[in-house]
This record gives sequence, C-alpha cells and structure tokens, in this order.
Amino acid sequence: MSRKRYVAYRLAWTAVGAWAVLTLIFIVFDLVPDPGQYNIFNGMSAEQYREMRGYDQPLLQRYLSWMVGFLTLDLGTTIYGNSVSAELASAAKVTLTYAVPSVVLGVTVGVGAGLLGAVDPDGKATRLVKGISYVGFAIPTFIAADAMFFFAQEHLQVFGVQYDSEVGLYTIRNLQALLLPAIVLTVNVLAVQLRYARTESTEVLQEDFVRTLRASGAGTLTLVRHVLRNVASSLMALFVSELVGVVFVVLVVIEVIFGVPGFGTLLYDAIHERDIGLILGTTVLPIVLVMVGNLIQDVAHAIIDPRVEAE
Amino acid sequence: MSGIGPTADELADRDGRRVGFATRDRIFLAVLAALAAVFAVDWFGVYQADAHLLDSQLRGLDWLFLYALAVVAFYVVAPLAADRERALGYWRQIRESRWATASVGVLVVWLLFAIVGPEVLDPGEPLYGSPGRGGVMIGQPPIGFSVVETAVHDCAGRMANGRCHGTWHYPFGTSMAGEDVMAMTAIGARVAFQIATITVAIIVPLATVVGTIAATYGGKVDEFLMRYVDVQQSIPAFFVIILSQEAISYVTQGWGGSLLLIVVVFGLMSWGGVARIVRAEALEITQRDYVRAAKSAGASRFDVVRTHVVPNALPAVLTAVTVQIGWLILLEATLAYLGFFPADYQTWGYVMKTNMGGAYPTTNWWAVLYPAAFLGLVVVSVQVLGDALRDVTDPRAE
Repeated sequence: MSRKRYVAYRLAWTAVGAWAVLTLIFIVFDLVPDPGQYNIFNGMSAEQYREMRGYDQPLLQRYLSWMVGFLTLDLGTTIYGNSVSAELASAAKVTLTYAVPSVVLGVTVGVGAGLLGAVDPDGKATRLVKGISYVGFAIPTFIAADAMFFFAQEHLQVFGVQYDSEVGLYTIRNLQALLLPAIVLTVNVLAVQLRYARTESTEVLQEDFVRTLRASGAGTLTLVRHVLRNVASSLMALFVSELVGVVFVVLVVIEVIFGVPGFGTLLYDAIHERDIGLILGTTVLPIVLVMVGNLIQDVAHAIIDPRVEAE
Repeated sequence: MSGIGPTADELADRDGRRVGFATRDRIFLAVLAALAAVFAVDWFGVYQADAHLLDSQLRGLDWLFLYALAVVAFYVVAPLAADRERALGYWRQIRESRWATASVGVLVVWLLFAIVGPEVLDPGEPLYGSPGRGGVMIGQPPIGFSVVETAVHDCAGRMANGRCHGTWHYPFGTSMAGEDVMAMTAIGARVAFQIATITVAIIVPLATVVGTIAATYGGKVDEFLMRYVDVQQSIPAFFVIILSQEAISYVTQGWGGSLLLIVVVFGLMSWGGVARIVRAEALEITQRDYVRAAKSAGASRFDVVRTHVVPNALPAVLTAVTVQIGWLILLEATLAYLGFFPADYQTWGYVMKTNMGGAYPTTNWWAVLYPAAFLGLVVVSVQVLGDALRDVTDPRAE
C-alpha cells in the first residue's frame, strides 16, 4: 500500500468510526427523556426548553443538526441557555494551561525512566522508579489529591492552594493554585507511561541489534538512544489510546478537589445538574478529538517509519 | 523450563491426533448451559432458583459472578491443577522475587478476607449503648489511636486523659453512620473480588476469540477487527460509563450508580489491548515448528487454535488483564467519589465516599484510610504479580 493510500485509508476509518459513535450516542439520547425539561430553576417552561434543545423538530432534522453541530463545533446550549462551545472553550483554556506541561513532563520522565529501567533492571534507581510507578498508580487520585491539599494547608500553612475565580487565569495567585493539580497529574501520567516504556523497551532489548551494540562496546546512552528510536512509534500509539483513559479521569477528580474551573469541573457540574447538553459536549467532543489524535499519530508514524510502505 | 517445551497434549497432537473440543470444554459448556437455564427460570419468575437452592436473592452482578467463577475454575485453576509441574515451576520462580511472593501473600489475604470477613463480621452488629444506623457505636477511633472525648457520644474503649481510645471490638474504628469499618472493608473486599473476577471473565474470552480469529484468518478479517479495536481504544471507558449511567437514570429517574453497569461497560470497552496481545502471540505461535508439524499432519485450523494457540497465549493474556483489574478497582472508587456510588453494593469507593466530608478533609479519617490502604495494597499486588508472571511465563524476557 502506498503511503498516500494508507493515509487516505486511515482517514476513512476515522471518519466511519466517528460517525458511528456520534450516531449511536444520538440514538440513545434521543430515546431517553431529557430531565432538563422538568427543571424549574432555569426560568424556562418545558415548552421553551424543548424548543431551545430542538426537541420539537422532526427526527431527521435533529440528527442532521447534531452531526453538523460537531463539525462546526456548535454544541447547542446548557440548561441555562449558555453556549456549550463557549463554556468548553473557557474551561479548556484553564485545563490546558496546566495539563499540557504535566503530560509533557510526565511522558518525558516516564519514558526516560522506563528505558533506563529496562537497560539496567537491577539498579537502585530502577527499583525506586518502579516503586514510584506502582504506588503512583495504586493510590486513588482523590485520596492523593485530598492528602496533598490537607498537607499544604495544615502543615505548610499555604492557603492559596485553591483556585480563585475572582482573579484571572494568568495571575501568580492562580498559576500557583494550578501547581498541585499539575503535580498529581504528572505523577499519574508518569506511572502509566513508565510501565509501558519499560515493557516495550525490555522487548526491544532482546533483539539482535542490541547484542551487536553491546558487543561493540556501546555505552548506556547510545543504547538508550537506539532503543528509544525503536519503541517510539508503539509508545506513541499507547500514549494516545491508554493514556486518555487515565488523563480524563484524573482531570475530573483533581479539578473538583482543587476547585479549578476547567474541563473536569464542567463535566462534574453538568452531571450533578443533569445538564445533558453539557454532558454530551464534554464527553463526546474529547472522544472525537482522541480519534483525530489517533489519526494524526498514525499519519506521523507512516511518514516517519519507512516500514509502513513495505507492509 | 516447562513453559517453553510442548506438553503431553501437544506431543500427542504431533502424531496427528484429532482433538476438537476437549473434555474440559464440553463440561464447561454444560455448566454454562445449566447456569443460563437456572438464570432464565429465575429471571422470568418461573422458579425462584436462587432462593430455593442458595437461600439468597441473587442480583445481576451475582449471576455474572457465578459465570465468572466457572470461567476461572475451568480455564485458570483446572489447567494449573492438571499440569502441576508447570504450576510448581511458576511458583518456584515467583518465590525467587521477594516482592512477587509478598504480593501473592497480599492477594491470598484479600481472598480470605473477602470469603470469611463478611460472614464473621457484621457491619451493623447490635450493641447496647449509643447505636448508629446498624446498632454500632458511632465514630469510634481505630485500635492504637484516640480521639478527644467530645468527638464521640459514647466511648466503647478505654477513656484516659479526656481521650477515647480505640478498642479491639472495632479494630478499624466505626463510621459516623454507625458502621464497623472493618466489616465494611471486608464487604468491600468481597465486592472488589467479584468485580475483578467478572472483568477477567469478560475480557479474557472476548480478547482471546477476537485475537485468535484476527491472527488465524488474517487479511480483511484481521484488518477489520484491528481497526475496530483502534476505534474502541480511542473511547475512554470512563465517558461511556458516565453516558450510559446518565441515559439509564433518565429512564428510571433515579440517582446514583449501578455497579453492574460499571463492570459490564468497563469489560466490554477494555479488551482491545489484550486482543492485540493475543493476536501477536497467536501469530508468533503459529510459526513454531510443532504447530507446522501438526498442520501438515492434518490438524484443522480449529484444532491448532484450541490445542496450541489458546493454551500458549493464555499466560500473556492473564498478565495483560492484571493491569485492567487494578484499573477497574481504582475507577470504581473514583466514580464513587464523583457521585456514582452504587446504593446496593458497599464497595471500597462507597465506604470512602460516604465517610469523606464533615470537617475538612474528614472527621473520621480511619473510615477513609483503611479501605484506601486495602485498595492500594491490592492494586499494587495485582500489578507486581502480573509483572512477575510475565517474566516467568514469557520466555523472551530473560
């Protein structure tokens, strides 16, 4: 398969997958009643609410506007009549501010430590890192985050640990408040990534070229560089698929605990207010984005790795 | 090591013996059919099988657990018991690592605690004094700790210097709702064991079937299945659980979560990675000499899969599943924290969630920390054992 055909083929699969997921979710949530229409706190009558959500339109019309909504990122309104897209955008800004550095840091350190652990399986540093990854994974995030919050407030007497929505995002006060959530997220990402990096690298280390390298007297760093090149593509794949599960769960928990008005809090509040428009927006959009991320990763892989063309 | 060489069955097959379904598979299918029949008559109200046979009211999760027990008994315990030499070999190698041995110890304690604990301990044991919801004294500290006298209404233990000390009557203390934390932890251990077994029994068959089909048929079938796995893996189970939970509670107009839903959705969404591993293993195994020999001796595709591919891929599968077990137990606790705690199952997450709050972060830390410690220990042990098993059963890792 030529490179171009391969990319087109993967693109088609992503499109079909996204279409299937969106359709399935549409069908399910079109069948179940929306509790928002009985909500008396948003100042709307049931009819007004139904009209706002478009329930008065015929089925095909609703389906089309649902699909077009995801293409144009117009995700409808919340129970209070605000635009879901606008709320998502402002929440995403907060979340991305601390999530991107944490994920980058967690992945880099995790992969590096995992590689070193595979190269030198009995070293002291390896054992330490292994221990951290086990424990970092096993402590429920909400316990760890709560304990850190408590420790910072009661023992270090630091009181600015909770996010202050009164002042802007890019102020010292709030950037400091994002520090603890960032640490929790980093540890979680690190724990997952390290595990996979270690497993993958251990497998690459069994290969013949490694023996040749070792026999020719290559140092640890050279070895790591070669192994890294070989595991990079499979680690990328894991990064997109296995990590998203962890990251989204952790995001919700830490944002609720630290009061960060980001994506996780938005989802949490939406669930508690039974705001179906917001729930669908905050869950389905990331699913579609991850699919696109998978596609990009595949295309990048096809461009970098010459073996794809040979397959 | 015995894990590498062909077993007696495989040697027999080399001579061209046809196998088809083994006796074990037939018995398993019979047990499964019987279970399904009992479930059906119970479900449709023809005959209250659970009440008459087991003297209890089985719920959806319990039925699934019975199925899971059958799967584990026939495909994990029975093969190990039959091939005692191989099992002993594994055990000897696990013994070489201190941490792996310790993790086996923790898992055995977990199992015993889950089986015996809820029978011996009663979370609502009636006691004269100040009874909570279940008749247990409220807010007692755990053994080895004390709280100020004013924090408890009545003190079950020793009072000294204005502090109420913990008593052996409630080693883990009691909650603010009047529940014995140790008993609650034991019940949580049982539920965690149930959902772990069910996860294994959902993921392993699904992943094995899909993985071996993809590997043996190849071509378009392989491509389709693996692309499907791609799509499924890009959908976080967490979101699917939330969405299906919402959809169901809109219909039933209820609050809270359903453990059955969490376990089933998690199982159905999480087999993708394991299926990939099975596929890779199967591709590798079918290239081995003895499999080729069996094929040229006239063994059918099914025979090869049944006798060579599945038994040899099983260790890799079980290792991959250990990560999922840990992740499910954690996810359940997290979902409980976020408000999706099941009303009908007292999981560790439920105990932690219901005891957080009051004064920040919690007025009775013991009711949160003891279940959390158990949960953490079990998750770490499952992972350590999984890693150790991979090293033991995978001949490629040295």
